[in-house]
Amino acid sequence: MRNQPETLHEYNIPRLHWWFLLSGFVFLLSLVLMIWVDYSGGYAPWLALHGDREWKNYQHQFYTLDMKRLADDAKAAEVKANEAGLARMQDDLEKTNGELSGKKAEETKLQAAVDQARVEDDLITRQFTMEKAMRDQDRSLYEEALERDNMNTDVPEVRESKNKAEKQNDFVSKLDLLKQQADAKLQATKDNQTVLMGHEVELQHNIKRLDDGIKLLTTRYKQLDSSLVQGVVNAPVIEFAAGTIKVEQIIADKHHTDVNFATVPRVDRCIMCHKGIDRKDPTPEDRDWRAKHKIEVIEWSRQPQPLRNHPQMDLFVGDTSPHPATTYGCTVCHWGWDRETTFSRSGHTPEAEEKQPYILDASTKQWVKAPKSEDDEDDDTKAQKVVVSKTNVVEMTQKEVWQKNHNWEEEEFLMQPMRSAKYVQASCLKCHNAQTNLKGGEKLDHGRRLIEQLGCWSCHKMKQMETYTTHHVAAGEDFEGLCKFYDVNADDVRRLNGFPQEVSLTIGQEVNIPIRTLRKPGPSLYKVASKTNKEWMRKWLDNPVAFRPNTYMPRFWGLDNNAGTPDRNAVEINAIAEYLFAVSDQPKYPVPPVQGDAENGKKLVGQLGCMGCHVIDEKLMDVKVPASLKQYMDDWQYRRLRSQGPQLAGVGSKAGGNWLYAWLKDPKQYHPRTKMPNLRLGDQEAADVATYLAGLHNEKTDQETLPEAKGELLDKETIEYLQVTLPMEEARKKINNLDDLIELYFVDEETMKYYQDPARLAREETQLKALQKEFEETFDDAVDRKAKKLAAQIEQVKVKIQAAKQTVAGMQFTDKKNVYLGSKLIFRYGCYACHDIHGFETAKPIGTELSEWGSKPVDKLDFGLVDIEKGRLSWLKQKLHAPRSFDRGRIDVTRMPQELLRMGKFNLTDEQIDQIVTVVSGMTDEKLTPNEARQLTPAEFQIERGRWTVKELNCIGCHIVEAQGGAVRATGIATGMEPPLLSGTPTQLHQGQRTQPDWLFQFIKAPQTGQIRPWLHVRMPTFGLTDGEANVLVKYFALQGEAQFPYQSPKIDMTPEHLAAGKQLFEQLKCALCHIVDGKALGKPLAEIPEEDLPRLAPNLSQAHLRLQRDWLVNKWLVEPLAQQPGTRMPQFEYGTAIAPNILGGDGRKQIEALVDYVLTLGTHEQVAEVVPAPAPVAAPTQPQAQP
Amino acid sequence: MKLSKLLMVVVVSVLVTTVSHAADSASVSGKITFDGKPPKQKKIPTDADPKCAEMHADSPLLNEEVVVNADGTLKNVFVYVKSGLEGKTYDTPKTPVELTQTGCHYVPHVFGMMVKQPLEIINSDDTLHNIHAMPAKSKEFNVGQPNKDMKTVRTFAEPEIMVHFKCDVHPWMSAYVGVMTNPFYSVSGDDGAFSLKGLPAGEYQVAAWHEKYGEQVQKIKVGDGEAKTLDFKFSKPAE
Ligand SMILES: [Cu+2]
Repeated sequence: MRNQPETLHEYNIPRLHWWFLLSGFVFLLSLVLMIWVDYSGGYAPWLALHGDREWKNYQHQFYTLDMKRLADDAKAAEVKANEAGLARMQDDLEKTNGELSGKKAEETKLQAAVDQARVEDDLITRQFTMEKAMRDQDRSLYEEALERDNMNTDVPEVRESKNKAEKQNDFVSKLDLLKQQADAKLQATKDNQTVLMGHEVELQHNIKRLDDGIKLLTTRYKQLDSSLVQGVVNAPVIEFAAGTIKVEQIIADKHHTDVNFATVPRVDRCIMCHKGIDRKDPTPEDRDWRAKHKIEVIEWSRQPQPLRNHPQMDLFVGDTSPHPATTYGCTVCHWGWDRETTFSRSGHTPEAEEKQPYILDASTKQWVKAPKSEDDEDDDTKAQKVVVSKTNVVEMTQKEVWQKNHNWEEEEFLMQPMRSAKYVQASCLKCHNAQTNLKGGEKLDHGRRLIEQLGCWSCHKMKQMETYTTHHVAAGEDFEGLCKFYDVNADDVRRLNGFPQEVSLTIGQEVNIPIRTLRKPGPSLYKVASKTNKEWMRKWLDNPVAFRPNTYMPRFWGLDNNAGTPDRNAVEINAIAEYLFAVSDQPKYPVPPVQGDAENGKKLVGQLGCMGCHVIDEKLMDVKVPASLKQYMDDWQYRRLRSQGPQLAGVGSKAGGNWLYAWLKDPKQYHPRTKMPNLRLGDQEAADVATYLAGLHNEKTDQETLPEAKGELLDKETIEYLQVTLPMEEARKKINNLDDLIELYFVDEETMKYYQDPARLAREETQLKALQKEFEETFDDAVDRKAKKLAAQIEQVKVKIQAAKQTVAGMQFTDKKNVYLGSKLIFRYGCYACHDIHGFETAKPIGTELSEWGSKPVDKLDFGLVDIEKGRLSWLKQKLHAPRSFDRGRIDVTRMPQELLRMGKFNLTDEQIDQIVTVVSGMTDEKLTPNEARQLTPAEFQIERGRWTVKELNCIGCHIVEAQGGAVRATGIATGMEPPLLSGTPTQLHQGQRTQPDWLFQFIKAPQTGQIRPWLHVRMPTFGLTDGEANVLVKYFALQGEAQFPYQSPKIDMTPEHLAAGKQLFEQLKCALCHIVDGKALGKPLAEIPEEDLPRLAPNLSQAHLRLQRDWLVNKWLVEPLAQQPGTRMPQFEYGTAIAPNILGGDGRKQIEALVDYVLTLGTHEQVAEVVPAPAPVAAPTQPQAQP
Repeated sequence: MKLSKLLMVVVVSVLVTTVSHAADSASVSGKITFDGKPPKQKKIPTDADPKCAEMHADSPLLNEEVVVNADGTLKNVFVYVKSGLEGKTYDTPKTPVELTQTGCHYVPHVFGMMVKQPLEIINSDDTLHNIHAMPAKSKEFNVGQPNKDMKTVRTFAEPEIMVHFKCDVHPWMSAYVGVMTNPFYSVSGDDGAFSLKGLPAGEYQVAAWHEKYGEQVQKIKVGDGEAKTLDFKFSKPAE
């Protein structure tokens, strides 16, 4: 071998060995690293390597914490057991044992006696059972024989068997007696034993119960504490077998996710880190108790993430909550990648941009929030006593902290990145869009109301804002039945679903049931020329906020993409104003019949309740809810409620006294769909208020002068728009002849169709000729009638067109240009989506549909040159904040004026923007299966309809409904003069329980103020509701208050004695001292009561029988008035012997019933006149004047 | 007069409770004076309830919002230890405090009691009164007393300065109670004097509360057995 020539190798074998060895090490090392990465959640800085198993650290942290909790709990259980007398019981047990040992002989004897008795009892029982079976057999033999022998008892066989059965029966009876005796004896010996030993047995039992609790906790603790468990079962590789540190997941089968077009259940692994998510905080009592006993308690809500528990556990996560984690999981609401187990890839989204101080926690090597200053430290940070020197505090955003702590980076390709806490309520929308007053969804609620009022939905279609519930058709359901089931108008359902007249449903089909219909948010401009002047209109268009700070009207000029062209803006604004005035109707408003008194008008505005919806000269944005209303609403609600109507400061600059007078007398004559109700003002009242309001001028607006609209610019822009359809040369010529382009705006809606379909007139003329010809041939009268009708129609259209032509021909040259340009600009900005404008009845809104915007991929959004984070929500925030900013740097270069962005800028605070972003980001393409949808029951459906109505009409501006609202109370209305509470918390009063539905219906339709509480200045307005709308409210109050509906007249005890007792009580309790009865109170006719005494009065009881429900009076109101209505002046009487021992035997319940029944006869023909029981009255119906 | 008798009851009950802390023997006393021209007590028209009018046919009922004594001292000022006793607990007296409705007004007009101490409300008139207490912290109550000599007992669960009582039948009726966790309080009477006895040595904030003129607070330090004086001066706020 040695002699053979060495093969010439490119390599050297020994060196190769070295190489092998080295690569072996490298492989080994990488294997170790692989295992390390897979096993560990640590960070190896020298390799810049993060372990993939961060969650293990958190589980470790969790178990450490949980062990501490167990130890604390065990200690607490021990102390509690001792408090419950464990030690004493143990002492007692010992003592009893000692006593018993002295009586050993007796104990043995007793035990022997029990044993003996038991043996005897057993024996006799056994014998009894056997003989009884025997007897039963004999009996049946006898019956068989009897049957065999045709019921003849004389046959020997029968007689014999009967004898036998009888004999056996006697024997059994005897045995039964013996058995009973034996049973009794056994019991007696046992009792004897119990007398001696019972105490001991009971003690043992109780000790065991207390002891077990402690043992359970200690055992669990030891399990976790064992180093064997911790060290071995969680070791690498073998951990999969039975580690305590393990992969955990919730398969939320009720909610799915779509992955690559396939529908799969969500598999949420969030709980691997968020292990404390369902841990409950100690109750305040428990906390106090433990503080007293110096036992620590873990407050899960104060743990650092991810160990912290979920807030609002009564709503989310908790087993008894409506969204238990076990069936809902996490990602259904929070989004994020359900199966992922690392921080970054699961889609965590950082919160707001503001920087906050952080410090590095030495033990965990994580950055944690630095405690602020000594003063505002809360208890837990104080307890930790972290020493903070100024030097190691770093100001960072949450994003930066995450990058440091978790190596976080944005997951661009996640379609559903986690929703940050700020916007998480967006998720509620996909299931709950039909509902309002969502607990835990306050931001969403505010946002939706805001979108409704701002009118975002009227330019941008938002299916979710249409508010319907989706019904999944089941077998046997038809369309008619469905409409009846929900009690909705079939036509509304047809319209919402686009159904034809004849509807046939298929099983599983989705039918949307409308809950409400939204009204165009802006006022009608059909008659605008009679309301205001062109000058004001121009200033208003130029900058609405300058005139009215809380307006919902957006600004269109002077923004990012047109602030640089003031002259052009002036031309546009002028053209629109000219257009609106040119096409406006011009009804005349005469001078009011009486002279108004501004001073009194001011007083009325403060008293009548106007301030529940309006504000005069208050800066609502700075307002904090007054303490007296804090329990009912938040700041936002307060601001919202009082922004239902416009801010009235300066209204005189816009409208004159005559118009205001007519408006106040009947708002609907000017604007049929206005939300402003009719206050039923008298002529003098209306004149006073109108005079006051007309005197409120906005000096700044009055003095402002706008730049003039320059003629040459008007021409330039007119040509620009003409050029859209014409070549430049022709456009230049056309500007001198615009008549045919603007005629159509001066005809009515019907005639306009002939302009939209220019061939229509010719077509109809041809048709007419054909008809005429047909008639000449057939002499068919029907054809003749048709022809004549068509001829008349054509004639009419021609007349209207001719009139329009004349109007236009009579116009100034400049006006024509303005009308033309104005019409184009109204099209461009889409003004008609919010306002009624002649000529735009059928125009389509200009905004993009936003129904699925929340799922829009970020790369489809144009960020322009704006330097913001490239995220869906940051884009939306920017859009709302500065809608035209995405044009920045592009004007004139890449964009023609007509191509510029056109969305208006709304005057929104950051908080409002967040509310809107919450809603819009919740409008996603997520589809719900029938199993997942939140289908409302018919009762819930009716309640939601009512809730939306209450909000839309702003009932809660004045009243408190469902413990919300009552804003008017904070506007200087005295205690006792507020509008009545309609429904408080669930235990407080409910209008549906208090009043009869029929009365409520009548009252809502046509309020009769001055009847029940004549002292009130606030006036319930007439909303002009249809029967259907009024019924929605009546049903809502009944169902929401869980009152009996439909209502049944109560059974009133009409016996004279009963009513006489009632009357006696009524007089003794001096009810009539405050309550109005028969038009009198305080012993005087109402008219004679001085103004300052009015607030002392209490409701008119002569109307009680028409208004109040007996059940409520008897079971709630008289029993504890304050529980029903906090602060009420109605006292609680101590019915029974305390106030009237001699009436109805001092029985409190009977007294209440008698009093109520008496009150319910007041004002009816059943009213008792005398206390002395009269002779039996003529047979009377059982209730007073039952309502139909 | 009944009023002084009732004040006696209050004072005595204060004394009784303080005796139990025999070791604590410091005291603070003084006078409340009124600076300026004393406002006149207005007559209250009571004819809204004939029963009330009858009782005041000869002596009209006077508004008690501000009562300046002849010597220029101010009546109905509630003086109490506002702070300095933290961590100390005092037993709740079992003897009830009385509030009487007589001649369609409350007697006493201002008084003090301890948390959970029984408050006995008596109607001495032959008309309906309702006693409507409007605490912010404890439970609100509103009890009707239609009969003469009716008694109702209530308590307050939480301390509060002050709880207002009103009668919804007779809107002029008004009274205030200071609900305390310690027994160191006193109401200035016809001589404008108050005294807080049996205090442990220490540093305190003593407050004087008046329904119209608000609250004043002064700091004071007392040693064991020391008796110090402290005066308060109220005046009409500038308008
Ligand atoms: Cu009274």
